[in-house]
Amino acid sequence: MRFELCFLTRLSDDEVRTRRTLKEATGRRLRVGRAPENEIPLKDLRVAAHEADINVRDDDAVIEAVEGHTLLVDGFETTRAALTADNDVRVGPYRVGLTMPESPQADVAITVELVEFEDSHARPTILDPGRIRIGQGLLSRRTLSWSLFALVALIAFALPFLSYLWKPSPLTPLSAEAPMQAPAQPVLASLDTFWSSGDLSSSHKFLEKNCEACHVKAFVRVEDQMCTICHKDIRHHFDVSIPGHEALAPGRCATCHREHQGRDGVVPVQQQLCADCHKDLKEKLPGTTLINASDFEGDGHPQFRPSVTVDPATCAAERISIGAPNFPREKSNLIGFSHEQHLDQANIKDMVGRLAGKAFPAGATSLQCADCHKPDAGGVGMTPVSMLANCQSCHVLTFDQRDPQRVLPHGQPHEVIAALSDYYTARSLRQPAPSERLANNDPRRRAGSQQSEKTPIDLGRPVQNEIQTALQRVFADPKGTCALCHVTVPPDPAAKTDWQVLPVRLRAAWMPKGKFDHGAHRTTACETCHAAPTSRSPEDVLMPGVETCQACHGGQEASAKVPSTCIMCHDYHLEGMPRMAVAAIQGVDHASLPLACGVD
Amino acid sequence: MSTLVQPQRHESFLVHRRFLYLWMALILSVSSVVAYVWLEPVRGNEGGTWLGYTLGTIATLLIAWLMLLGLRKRIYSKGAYSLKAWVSAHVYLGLATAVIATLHAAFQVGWNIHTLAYVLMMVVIISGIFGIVAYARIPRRMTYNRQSRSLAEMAKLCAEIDQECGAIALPLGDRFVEAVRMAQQETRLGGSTWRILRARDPRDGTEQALARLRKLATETHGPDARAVSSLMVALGRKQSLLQTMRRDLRLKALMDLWLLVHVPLSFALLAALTAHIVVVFFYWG
Repeated sequence: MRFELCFLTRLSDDEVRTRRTLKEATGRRLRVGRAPENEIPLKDLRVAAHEADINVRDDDAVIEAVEGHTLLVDGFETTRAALTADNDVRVGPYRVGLTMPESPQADVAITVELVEFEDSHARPTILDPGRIRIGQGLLSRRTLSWSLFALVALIAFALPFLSYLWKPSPLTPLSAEAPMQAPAQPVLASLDTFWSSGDLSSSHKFLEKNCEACHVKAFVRVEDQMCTICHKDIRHHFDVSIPGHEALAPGRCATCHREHQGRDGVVPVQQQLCADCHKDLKEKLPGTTLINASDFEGDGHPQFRPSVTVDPATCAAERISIGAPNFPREKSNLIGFSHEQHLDQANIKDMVGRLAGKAFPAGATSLQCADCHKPDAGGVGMTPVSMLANCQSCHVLTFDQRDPQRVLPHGQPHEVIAALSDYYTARSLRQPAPSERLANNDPRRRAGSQQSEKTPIDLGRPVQNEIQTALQRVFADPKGTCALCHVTVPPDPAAKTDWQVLPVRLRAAWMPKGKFDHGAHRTTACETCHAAPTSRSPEDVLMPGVETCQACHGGQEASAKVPSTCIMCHDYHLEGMPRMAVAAIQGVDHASLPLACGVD
Repeated sequence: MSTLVQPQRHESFLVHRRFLYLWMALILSVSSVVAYVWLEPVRGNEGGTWLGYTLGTIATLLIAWLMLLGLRKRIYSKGAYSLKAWVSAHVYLGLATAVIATLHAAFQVGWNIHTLAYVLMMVVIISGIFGIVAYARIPRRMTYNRQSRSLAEMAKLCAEIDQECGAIALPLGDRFVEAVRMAQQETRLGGSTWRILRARDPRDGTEQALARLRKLATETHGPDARAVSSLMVALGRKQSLLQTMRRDLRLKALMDLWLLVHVPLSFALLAALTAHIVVVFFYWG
């Protein structure tokens, strides 16, 4: 069979150029495809090597797609279609059609027209400007910049500020009665915690979500009144009403107590806060009895000056420097006591041995400090030594060798006198015999006569003498019962007084302005600080000097010792001073203020 | 007498005016450190001491000035100071800001907006350091990689290779043509930021076409085999061009990447810093 292959080239909408080729085919089947052996070769990569077959029949032609391929006929996909002059049959990018052959030798004419051009220059370039750079579109620097600006402004300012506006107005500070019951806040009302510059101290942690508990007025620093709602009893450091002190008056609470600095607390430990005034206080405050102090190292801290009782009758005390020529001797009315004697094993081992397992630990042969000096319940100080608890297990108050089981009460002198009178009177009644009694007071009478009221039972002068002797022995004999430890005063008939025992006036604390924690020092032997083993007199003030503390404690900058600042031993807010809260809020009532400590 | 004309040598912004701004930044940083150590306030350092306020003010002014570089860059006038002088000062004073702001914060951090501002500032500065490194090293690598060819030239070469492959493939079987079509149609440069930075496209058409052709080549004999080997040579050339282009895009992206952090976060910093300053006095301690 012969057929005409017409390649149409559309030059314009109306003008079509046709290139006709007369071709020979072996059968009536014309193969369409890219391969050169096809009867109708279509030189385009978009066409398969063999894509379709055209079966030419007597009066028409049918095009059929090879298996695995499809045709597009009038826009619809199909595998088979009649080939006419009118319908639009597509094989790949070509339109295939039927037309009248020009050559009389040809049975049929097939038209082929490339309708979908693939121009390599029109193909999307691999250098797509939208794809080859980072930071485009939503990720562009401008978009990102303003979005992040807005996001941070929202989180860092807008939301917390809304939270601030949310709070009740006017802001109500905490209730002083129940400060821990800070009102629960809705989440939105506590977003201003984003503004917190750091953790509150542990003791104020409960306020962490209630910024307004302290920050009451915007753009105004926290006022002292906010502190004194709870800390209403806080005391001044000195009497600010004394002339000359005004300039030394402290600033705001927050000058020293900085919050939002972490959990450790708001009590400052830096010695400079104290030393700024105390290093040259004598110059700043002429007339003060306080000694300058700047640091715990060397001469920076004055020698300790225990307050020692100098007159037990009035309890008058004097601060005497340890090591001064008039080294402190305490007149406490306690006499005869010797620490040396009590701690000397040779002296005491028989007595301790007898009481081991009872008053003392089993096997004890000597007294230890802790046998008498017991820590108090808090473990910081010591419980006072008492006759009842500490002395009388050894020092039994016997008064008559003939009756060693009998003991006197440790109490008031009149109780002792009464006990002695009772004892000797009773004793004489149990043993009525001495001839003196018969001679002076004959109980015999004539039969039938009544005993006269004028002749009462008179125990007589011997009993009285015995009582007086015993009183003398008990109260006055320095090796006797009371006077071994106590100062006693004999009776004075003119003043109608009986025997007296002067009360012992031991001081509760020799250095009341210095805090000392015995518990914290329990690994140190007592005698490291207290020279008890060589003390023979109860007048000895067994306090160590500052140099003893300085052996371990150094100044703030100490590297080989415990760095110790003022606040380790001293308080700033002193009991007995006027209230800070009063001063801060209502002004000071000068008349009601006690004298400042140390400034006479 | 002839005058010897010295060729004008390129001077990096880092060494501009004999490190003038480096010295300024060093003096500023060292004096801040000395003040911080020397004038230690009684209760320790923090932003709220007078030294803290001073350092904070200096840092704020520096940040405000550093951000003005973005405006200065857009003004094409010579002015009193060249853009190079600005960049030189920007780099060194920016580094000094890290020191000053750290001292202002006194090493205190927490989950709050103040630390947010500090962290944003540090990230901006660190990204800036990446930028210095990038500007110092990447241009040389780009030049070496491109071998004096432009991206457009390389893209044109690729298109020519595509055409050449099309011609070779025309008489070949469908499977070969599919491979060539794939190389032509499905080869893309760039895409997502990640893809640009990796400089690899796992579904690259050219690479897949080559893999297919390699497989087909073992089954092809006769005249087709010669055509297939020509195809593989052409696509190999294209692939090597593509690699060069991808490396170029990657290097360019690295030059841009730090800015993508540096600039947006500096705006975030501006918001956080403003909030920080307002809030400190709003809830004044």
